[in-house]
Amino acid sequence: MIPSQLLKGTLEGCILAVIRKKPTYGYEIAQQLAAYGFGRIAEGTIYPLLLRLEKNGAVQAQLRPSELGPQRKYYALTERGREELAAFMGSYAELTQAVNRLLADTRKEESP
Amino acid sequence: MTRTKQLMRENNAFERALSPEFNQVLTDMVVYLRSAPVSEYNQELVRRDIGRMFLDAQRRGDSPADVIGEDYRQFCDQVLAEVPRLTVRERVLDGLSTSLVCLGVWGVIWFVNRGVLARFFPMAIVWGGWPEIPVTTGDALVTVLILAAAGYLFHSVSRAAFSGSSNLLLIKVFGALAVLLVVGRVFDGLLGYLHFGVVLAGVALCFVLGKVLEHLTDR
Repeated sequence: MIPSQLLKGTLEGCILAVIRKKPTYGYEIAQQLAAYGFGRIAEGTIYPLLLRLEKNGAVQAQLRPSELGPQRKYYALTERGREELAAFMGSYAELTQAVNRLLADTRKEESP
Repeated sequence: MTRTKQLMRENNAFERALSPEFNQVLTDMVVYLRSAPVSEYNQELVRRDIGRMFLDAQRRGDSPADVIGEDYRQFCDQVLAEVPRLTVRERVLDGLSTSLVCLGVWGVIWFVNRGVLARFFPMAIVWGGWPEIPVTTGDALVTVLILAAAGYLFHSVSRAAFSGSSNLLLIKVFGALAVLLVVGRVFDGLLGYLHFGVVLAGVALCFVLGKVLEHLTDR
């Protein structure tokens, strides 16, 4: 289980990555993230982030009929969302490289 | 009908399909959202989104806590942080619209309470003219106080939506009623007379202006 504090800064970018595959809705995003090993993320954690992405113009929402029940709100990536995702991927790659280098050093120093 | 009222009507109809458990949580959330500085239309949009999430979850056999976690208030605060805030001008217009409609309702109650319908109407028919209605200092004070108390109680109910205890709220309601009764009785000095037609026009104007402002702020 990934600690929520660690997840906080990256979840928005990860949601953009999930939506990039195909337009989707809150619960399906949570399911996809769980399938990638993020653990169980409540739909209620994702919804405020989707509102923020929509407010910033990174995603566009559309109500679509669902076979089971009420219309669902599907989110699709906009051009701005693609740019934000690209920026996130760049920043995240920098972060992981830096963390990996630091941890590799730490491991070397700790090994006898 | 404004688009807010239309959406509100759709949400009311839609929520009948929710179980009492989900309905209770959603009702608490809506009550909490009502006093937030966001437009009523945006409140209804959030209500629609959460209602749909809940209905989906109900069909899957999940609980409200499975969908939004245990801290409902925190969830609402996180949602509200992402909804566009009303500007100062919009808040003033919104408050004015609500106050005018409340004043109109209070005017009707005051009419009935003064026995206007029972006493003055027959007098008007017998005398063939519209009567002057006596207004006391208490009437004026109670009108101001009742608007202030309504606003305060509305805010208190909304902020306490997730607290579960209604005792303090009941004390506040009965306290406000007691103060209003005392003020109405104690300050019985005559302030003047208002023509029946003026009062009637005033009440009608409150409703009309309130509704016009409601349309202007419908976004």
